[in-house]
Amino acid sequence: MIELYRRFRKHRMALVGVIVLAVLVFVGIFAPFLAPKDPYQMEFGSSLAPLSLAHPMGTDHLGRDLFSRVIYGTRVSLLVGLGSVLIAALVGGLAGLFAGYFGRFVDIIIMRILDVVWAFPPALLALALVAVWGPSLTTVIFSIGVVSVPQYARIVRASVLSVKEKEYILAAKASGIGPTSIIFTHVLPNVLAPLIVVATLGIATSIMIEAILSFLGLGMQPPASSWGLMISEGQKYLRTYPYYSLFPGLMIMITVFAFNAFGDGLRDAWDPKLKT
Amino acid sequence: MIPVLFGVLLLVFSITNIIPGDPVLLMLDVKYTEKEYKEMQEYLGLDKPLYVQFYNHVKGVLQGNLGKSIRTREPVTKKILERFPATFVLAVAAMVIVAVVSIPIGVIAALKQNSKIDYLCMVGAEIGISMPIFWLGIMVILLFSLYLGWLPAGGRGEPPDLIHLIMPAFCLATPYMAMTARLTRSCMLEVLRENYIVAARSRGFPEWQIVLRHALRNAMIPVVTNLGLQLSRLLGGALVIEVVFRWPGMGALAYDAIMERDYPVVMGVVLIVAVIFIIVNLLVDLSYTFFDPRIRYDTRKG
Repeated sequence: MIELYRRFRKHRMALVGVIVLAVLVFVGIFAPFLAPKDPYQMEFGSSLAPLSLAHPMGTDHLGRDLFSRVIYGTRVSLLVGLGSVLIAALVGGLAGLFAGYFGRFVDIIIMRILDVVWAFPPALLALALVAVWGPSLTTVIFSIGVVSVPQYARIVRASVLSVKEKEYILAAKASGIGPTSIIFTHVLPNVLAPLIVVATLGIATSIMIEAILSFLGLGMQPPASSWGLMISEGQKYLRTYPYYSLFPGLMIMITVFAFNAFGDGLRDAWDPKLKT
Repeated sequence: MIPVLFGVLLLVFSITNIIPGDPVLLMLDVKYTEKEYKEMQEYLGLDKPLYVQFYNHVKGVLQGNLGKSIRTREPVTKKILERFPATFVLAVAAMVIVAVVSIPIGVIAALKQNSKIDYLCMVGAEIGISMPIFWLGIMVILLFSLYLGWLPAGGRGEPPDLIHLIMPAFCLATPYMAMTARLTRSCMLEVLRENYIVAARSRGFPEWQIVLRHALRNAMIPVVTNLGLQLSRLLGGALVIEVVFRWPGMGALAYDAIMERDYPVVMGVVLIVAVIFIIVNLLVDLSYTFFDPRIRYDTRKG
């Protein structure tokens, strides 16, 4: 563990990522205390106001304070990122465990089904799923979760295959332990490392897909303060009021960057050879 | 491959059927009689049980028939074929940019490992991956079209020209450039540690020859096959880039269709993109045998 920490600490970009993530999570949790204004409070007198101390990122076309909305947007992005990755890692992880451990027709059936999902560009399939279920926070999380499942199944399956024939598994089998308990007590701990790395990187991908969905109008719906939605609304005022789209985009970039850097750092610390 | 194709058809068919809203009502006037409703239902083939509908759907798709648009009543296949060339041009242009820009960057970064150049390239790549492409698109429109006035903000030009292609292609290419540069770098680093490179060095071959002839050629195998896979992923990214730049391709078609709730068109595009992905995947798998003769899919000896 100490060795892990030492190797991780050497990864400068990952350290930056961790610090940024800590700040973002803090902002997300304490948004109501940090935001200077109510993000849904409209003031028509001061729409598209110039940047000032009262409105550090300006105001939108309905006079809502953009700084407060950007702060609340952190919540949406982190919620969608964490929620969808939890779903995908749980479902995909289990699928991969069973497919890899049992092999044969279990493997074929599970992986064929996931190949079907894998054939669609993630954002496009998520878009179609949201269209079916109707756009809301829950359906966005579920849709992004569903389209991410194959990735987790693949990585877990590959690691299961590599540990399956190890002596300690064979020993466990020989001593008469059932397959379920072998999977969860002996196989799972050994495939956890790659799963956590992929999940960290996956949060970045999920946040990006949410932004795309919301930007296209099939994600979070107004008046939600989602960064993707804000960029889309701001696009109409690009010529006269570029801040509207600028800041939410920067926030997406910073967040995705932080998760990616953190994930890369974890990967290199755990196993320098493990590259995606 | 066939079971996956079948699964893709089934998934798209199910999504189309679960989508709320009765397509029959969308085709009719506000005032309609029971008889008109029945006729329209029959015309659309929706009066039959689901498995018959699915059978007809698969049969139609195999014959190149993706159904009719609810709004314009045109065949979906025709609409997609009209828009396909624009998307294809955009995706290929982006792919060329990716190959031309990121492979040299990756090689240079690997050769100068841990130098300032390497660090700069990799931080740049990390930023490139982190940017939402639609936002990047909006920002370059702001800079190059609205402030500087150098490039057109959208459309494809009449007739289509290169100058309209520059910004969308670069924006679409950005995340893939970053990924490819990183992949090239790591593959190159791996190959440079191989024994045959050490052997070539010890024989005193010039460095450029070692890099170009021995290292690059072997490092390129995963990079090139990855480019193939990215081409089909690019089509997904093209959706949002086409919306930002009003590029008249399949993505813009799908977006307009989503806005008009014209689901046969949306599902047609989704299906086509998935099928392209499956085909490209197969081609990439086959290309391994070309790049690496040790891999064979043939079970016979020969």
